Formats: sequence, C-alpha cells, structure tokens
Amino acid sequence: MRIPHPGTFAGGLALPEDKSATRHSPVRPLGPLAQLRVPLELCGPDRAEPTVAPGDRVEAGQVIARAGELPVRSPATGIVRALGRGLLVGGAGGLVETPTVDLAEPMGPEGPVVVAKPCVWQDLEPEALLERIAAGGLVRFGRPVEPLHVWLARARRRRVDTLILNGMENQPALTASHRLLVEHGPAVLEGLGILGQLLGTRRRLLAVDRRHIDDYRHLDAAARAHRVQPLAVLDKYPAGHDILLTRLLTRREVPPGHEPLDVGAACVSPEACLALHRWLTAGESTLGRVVTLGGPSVHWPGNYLVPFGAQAGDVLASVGAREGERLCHGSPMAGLVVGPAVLVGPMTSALLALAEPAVEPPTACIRCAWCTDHCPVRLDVANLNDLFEMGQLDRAGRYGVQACLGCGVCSFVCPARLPLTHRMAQMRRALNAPTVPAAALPADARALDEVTR
Amino acid sequence: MTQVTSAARAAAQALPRAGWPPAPLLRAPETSGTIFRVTTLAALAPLGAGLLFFGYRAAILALLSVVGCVGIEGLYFRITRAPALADRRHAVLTGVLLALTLPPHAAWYVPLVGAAFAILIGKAIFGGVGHFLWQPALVGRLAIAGLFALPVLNPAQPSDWPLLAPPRIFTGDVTDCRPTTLYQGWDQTPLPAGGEGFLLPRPVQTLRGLTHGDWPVYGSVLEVFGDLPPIRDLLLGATPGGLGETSALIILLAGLYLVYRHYVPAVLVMAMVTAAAFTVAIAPIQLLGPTGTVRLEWLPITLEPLEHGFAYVSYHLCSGELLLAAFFLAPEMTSRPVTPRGQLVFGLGCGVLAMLLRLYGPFPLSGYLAVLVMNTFTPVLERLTRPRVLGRPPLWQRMLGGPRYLRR
Repeated sequence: MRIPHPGTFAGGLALPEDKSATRHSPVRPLGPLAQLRVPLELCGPDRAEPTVAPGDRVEAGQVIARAGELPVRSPATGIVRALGRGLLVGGAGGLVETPTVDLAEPMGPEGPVVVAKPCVWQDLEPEALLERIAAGGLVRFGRPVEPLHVWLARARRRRVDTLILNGMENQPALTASHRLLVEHGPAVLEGLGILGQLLGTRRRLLAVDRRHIDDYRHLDAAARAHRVQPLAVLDKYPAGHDILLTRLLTRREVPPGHEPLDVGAACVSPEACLALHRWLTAGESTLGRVVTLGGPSVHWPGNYLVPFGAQAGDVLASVGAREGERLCHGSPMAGLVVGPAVLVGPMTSALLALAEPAVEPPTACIRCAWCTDHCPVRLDVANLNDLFEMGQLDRAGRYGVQACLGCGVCSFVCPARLPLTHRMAQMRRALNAPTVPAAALPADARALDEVTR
Repeated sequence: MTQVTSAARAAAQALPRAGWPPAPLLRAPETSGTIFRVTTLAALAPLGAGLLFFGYRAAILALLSVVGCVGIEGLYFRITRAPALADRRHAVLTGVLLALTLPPHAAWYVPLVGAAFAILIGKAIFGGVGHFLWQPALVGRLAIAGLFALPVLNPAQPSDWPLLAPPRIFTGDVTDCRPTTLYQGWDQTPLPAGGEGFLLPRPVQTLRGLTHGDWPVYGSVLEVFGDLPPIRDLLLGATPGGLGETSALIILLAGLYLVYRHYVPAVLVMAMVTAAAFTVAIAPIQLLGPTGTVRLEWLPITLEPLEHGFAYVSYHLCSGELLLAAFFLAPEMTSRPVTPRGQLVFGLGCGVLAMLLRLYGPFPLSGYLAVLVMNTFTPVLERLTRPRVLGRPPLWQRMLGGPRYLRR
C-alpha cells in the first residue's frame, strides 16, 4: 500500500485501541431471537405506512411498509404480532421514536435474500442508476442517516470532486467496518467505484488506520481496478470522523453546522458501499447490519450480522451478557448509554455490555485547559462550559459550539469529571432547535452543585 | 389506550437507568486531586532545599502556612458551605506555595496572616477553586509585604538577609546570623564568631545596584560580579532569599517534571524565561563614566566581552523569585489563560514585567507583582486569543467578505 503522509491536526488523543477481543473474529449470523420489532422510519419521521396487519405471515424480504417512497422489507420470516412504536438511535446522536412492526418467532433467512434482478451497473446511465438505487430502499450508514439516493442526489448537485471511503474506524472496541473490509473488501471497493462513476469523481480514496494496513494488503488489486487510492491515515483518536478526515485528505475545512458535501468531499462507510454493491450486482436487499458485540462480561464477543429491529438487550443476552448491565450503543467514546429496549438500526455499529461504573461525582472546573488543548476542532471548551453554567446560549453560538463533533475527548481528559461532551451537545441541539427554552439548560449545572454539596 | 401505555413502557425501557453518567464511558485516570497532590509534592522539592540552607525554621514556617490555609478554609467552609471550597488538597497546595515565597527570618505569625489573606481574599470571596482571579498564595505574600516590616537583623544594612553556614545547615537558627566581611562564596567563608551563618545582601539586590541610583554606581558589569556569589551557589541555592526561591537547579528539575506531566504549560514557562532574558539583555543600566558622570548604557549584554554579558543575564535569571514564579506561581491553572496563545502572551508579559519592575521599580517582589498584574488580564487575554474554530475562516477572510469554499 502506498503511503503518502496525509498530515495531522491539532488536538486529539492517542487512545488505547482495545479491539483484540473481536478484531479477528469473522462475521457470523446471530442466533434466533424471541421477537423482532422492525423499525419503519430508519431515516427520521417519514409518514411510514405499514402494508401488513397483525396476524399476517410475512416472508424475509417482503415489503411490510412504505416510508415515503422507501420500501421497508421484513428481515425475517414470522407472524406480525402487533404494530407498535420503538426507539432507535438517530443520526443526530439521540434517541428517535419510530413506528414498528412487531414479529413473533422470527426465522432469519438462510442466505442472502434476492428480491430483484441483478443489473450491469456499468451500462446504466446515472439517472437510471439513481432510480434503481432508490428502488432498493438503501440507507446511508452514517451521519446523517438518510436514504442513499437522497444523499447521492445532493452530492451530485454539490459537484463532489473527492470520494472518501472511511474505513478508519478509530473508535475503541469497534471492529464491524474492519471485518467488512477484510472479508468483502473487493465488493466494498466496487461499491465505491459505482459511487465514483455516479458522481463523476476521479479522486477516490480509501482511508484506513495506519496501524492495520497489513490487514488490507489484499485489497491492492481491487483498488487498482476501481482507481481507488489507499491511504494510511494517522491513528490519533478522532481522525476517523468524516469532518477531520476531509480536513486531512483534502485540506478543506467544513464550516460549523455543514457537512463534507458542502466543501466538495463525500465520505461513505464500507457498510453503504457493500449494500449498494449487493443491491446492484445481485439484487440482494439489506436486512440488517454487522454489529460488534462485546464487553467484559460477554461470553462470545464478536462481529455478528444482526437484523434491524432486534432489541439491544435480547441481542446481548444471546451472546451471553449478564442481565442489568449498562448498555453502550456505539463506541465507548462517542456512543450513547441506552436501555435494553433500543432497536438495532443503521447507526448501531456496536453494542457493548459494560459493568456499572464507579460513579465519581463531578467537581468544579479548575481550568486545567486540557479540554481546550485536546479539542480536535479547537473549541474553547473551558469557556464554553462557563457559558453553559451561566446559560448564555447566544454567546456559545458565537464561540462556535456548532462545530462540536461529539467525539468525547473533552470529557475523557477532564480531571474534574465534568460531562463536557454532553453539555456541548446540549448547547448544540438547543441552538439548532430554537424551540428548546434556554432556561432549561442549566439544570445539569444545578444537579452538579447538588452532587458536590 | 393500551397502545399508548405500551409505547410509554417501551420508551421507558429504551432509556438508561437514572444516575448513569453520559458517554464517554472511558475516562482518563487523572483527577483534580491528582493534579493538586503532584504539584504539592513537586513544590516540596524547593522547600527541601530551603530546609537545608535556612534550617528547621523553614519547616516550622511551612507547617504553619499549610495549617493556616487548611484551617481557615475549613472554617470558611463550615460557615458558608461554598461547594468549591470542599477540597482540602488545594488549600495544602496554596499553603506550600505561600511558604516557598516567605522570608526565612519571618516571625511565626506571619505565615498565618498570609494564609488568612490567601484563602479569604485570594480564593474564598471569588468562589473557590476554579473561580479566583489572582494566584492566592501571591495575594497572601503581597499582604505580608504590605503589613509587616522584616525583623532588622543587621541595623547597619537592613536589607541583608540570612543564610546558614555550611557546618550549621539544617540545624541552625537563621535569626542568629552575623554580617561578614570575608565572604568568598558559601563554602569558602569562615563562620562568623558566635553566629550560625552570614547576613548578606540578596544577589538580586546587588544586581539592582546597576539600575537604581541610590546604590554605589559601578564602573562596569564586571565589577558587579565581584560583589555577587559564584553562579554555582545560585544554582544550588546557597544564597540568601525566600524559603524556596534560591535553589535554581531544584526548581528547574521539579518544574520540568510538572511540564512533563502537562500540569504546567511549557509555552508559558519558556515565554516567561525567554522574555526575561531578552529584557535584561536590552534594558539600560547606569554605569560610572571615566569623568565621574553617570551614563545610561543600552544593551548591557554587549558592553563587555560576550561571556560577561551572558553571565550578567544568567545571574539575573537564577537570582530572585523569577524561576519560582515561572514554574510554580504563574502557571497556576485557574489564574492563567486556557488558550495556548493566551498563555504565550501571558508568559511574555510576566517575564518582561518582572524584569522591568526588578530593574526600575521601587518594590522588591517584582516577579510576584508581575504575575499578579498579568493575572488581572487573564480574562481579557482568553477572549482576545480564542483559537480559530475548525471550519471558520480566519479574521482577515471574514473582513474581506466571508469564505469562498462553500459549494452552492
């Protein structure tokens, strides 16, 4: 693999990697689950209308609902028990509510579910290709969560000149994307080639963690075939975030509140490329995703193919996690602590069962400046925390809090144990949604005072 | 109705149990307590050197200072229940730092009064750790300088300070020192009859003779070196001065350890020491001309062969409170800026001001005063030097009408 040096950025952390438990375990299907609660609105509120009723029998791959124009397919064969509502981790990093179709006694499909005829993507015009992708109900596995064809249409309007396949996965304990690249690398790269042809981009980059380049050497031939340039990017902690990767590989900075598309770079995940490739070349639909299941108490940690709609608690119980443990959705740094009823969706890169923490109460900020020093987007986190405690939201906006990536570095280094990342996210959300009353903000600060008293 | 309740139950199960902290679930091992503890331990190193050269009184003064700080803070907490004052470790650190700045021949009640000012005026009225504007130990030291005249040990030269002689280290009493005319460096000078050590002008006081009119005017920089102890004594700490101010080598080692732990920003210390060096290398000194007139000479580093010029600068850097201020007092976390560029400007300001006050100011505690003055500007510096957020155009681009790289 050729290694041009893509440079570095200010801030960030050298984190312990913590991937040895699952890095070499191949992707396996998950064992049988007692029930599935298939979420119908994977991409936010979309007026989903179920086309099945309670008591119906559905087959794997059968269309059970339409969300907007997007068909929702059943990930398993079973009987519809009820139409309910469930919670899913959305693209903004919080929980979103979605209608569900609850399946009793689901039977997972034995192999890939072919629901359409394969096509030769090289022969299709871009418009026809886009229509074909829209018919597949593909979603983008990444932020923001949206239908792949919607994202692609936006990317075409922005005249994207750099296409980045983000195979970094430099979050601790996450190995799902790594396994996809190792096991299905050529297919993933062909998916990238399809996107490159569709967007008309010559510059196609595969960014991987420089610690693991030995695992990706077998991708060389496929990379040459699809004119993809592999790059070994530094392993400092949030370097795998789309916005920082764009900065590293294109020298373009994404303005706060915008996405890489706005500066002419498109970042895609291996999951999306693989799903696209399978849909176009084999007509297979995507009914689940690869999830890293791990944690100290999990008996059989590994990378599992989990159907959409499985409940987090059930999934972890089926690999031997103890009851009542803390569930972490996503990575331990930037993930979300959730309850056992959260559903597996496109954002579920990992489910980790962690022991209950030794709670250290937060103390007053001593202004050590480590948060400001380590912030990868150079936010003055120490002063933003002051503004949070004083409830001065508009000044926080002027300080640029919308640029926060939510990477968790500031909370990680904070010696006063303040929930800084959480506070920055609260301010960012409050600024993006002006309906949230600013007076509701410092509740967290008041709770802090009660703890330290 | 049942659907609503089942939805509510599902939502409740999807949320984490109350009391669990939000992500990230990984945390670095260092806490505020670790920072205070390690800084206190590092500050004990210069205090140990002080114990060697100023005897057991150093230990008594330090103990009184620490006990005073902890006691007064505890009392204040009992009365007001201010939550930020609940941590005793910062009070200990303040006490040790205050002790480092004390004169070794101060009376026993002086550190107690200093501790009261440090805790009450320096810290408590601002709201405790994380909120104060001025370094509390320096507030205490400034109050001491304003309230008490030092005990006059040598009526002929009231500005002389004590130093124990080599046979009396660690056990001698610094209030029982005598003036000597035979001073040839610390270990070459015989013990004055009946005394425990010598009474000498502080090196920084001798150096001030080059710029203060009320001192015998020197003919050249080389002449001053005759009145100064050898530089080896300054490095070891065998010169008169504050309890923890004298030993340049120990301060350097302990301070570099703090820099290595990232408790002290390297940029601040380097800026302060470098700015101080450049200031003394440039700032004019008074010399006696051949015709008996006093003339003002700029760039003292170039007046004589360059090695003498560098020796002059090194004497200035190693003497007085400059190094202690640079490594232990100016980088106090709460009262220095948090932004890297702010720390640079803060350090430069401290260094230049410390040296200008030492050379031309009437007040003897120039380094401490400089740090306190720059502390006052910390909020302004933070606001002016906030880093440019990733993705925001630099100021000059914003003034020219905004960024051009967004694709519409």
